Amino acid sequence: MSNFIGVGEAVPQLVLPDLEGEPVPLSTFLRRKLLVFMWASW
Amino acid sequence: MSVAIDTQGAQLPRRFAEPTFETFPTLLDADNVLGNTFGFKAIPNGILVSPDGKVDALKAGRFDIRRPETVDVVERWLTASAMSQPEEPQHLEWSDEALRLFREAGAAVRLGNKETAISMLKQAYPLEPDNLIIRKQLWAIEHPEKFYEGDVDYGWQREQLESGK
Repeated sequence: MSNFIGVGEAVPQLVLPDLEGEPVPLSTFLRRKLLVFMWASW
Repeated sequence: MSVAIDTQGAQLPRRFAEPTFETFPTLLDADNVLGNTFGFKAIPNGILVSPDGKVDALKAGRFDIRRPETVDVVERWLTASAMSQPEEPQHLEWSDEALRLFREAGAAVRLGNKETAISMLKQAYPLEPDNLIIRKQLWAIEHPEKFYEGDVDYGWQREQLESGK
């Protein structure tokens, strides 16, 4: 189970597309506290 | 920011995210890469990250700003200099096979092969009966009218859950 990122660990350096398909690194948003809300259309 | 786990692509979440475009960005996690990093098996979830990129808190499931519990967590996090008592959610690992099927189903549906995607998700679902990401994504592909015509039909979803579909 240690494969998961937990509290106190660094968020992964991922790059995900925005809704227009442009790649955006998550690190772009790490200037201050960041709330990542995970959802879906369904 | 928000991240949509929508295996069918950007078009469906765009409709819901558009009113928030001015306020915060939304990214797409069609292959559940970020979700799988945290072992999420349902949505909605919250990842609270400190400015140095460390996870301050994880809220797996029912992270809904309409709920007072969620508002409380966010307010405490915003005002605290550091989270005093970090809460660890229960990590639930996806089986490799279920994740593979989920990703291949996404690739198929994005190419328009809806039936292939449905069949793959129906293979993945029994491997993870408690996995609402697989289940609800399957529903959305199989019954789009319950999701994308007017409001999402939560009554129908409850009936599906209760009948074990």
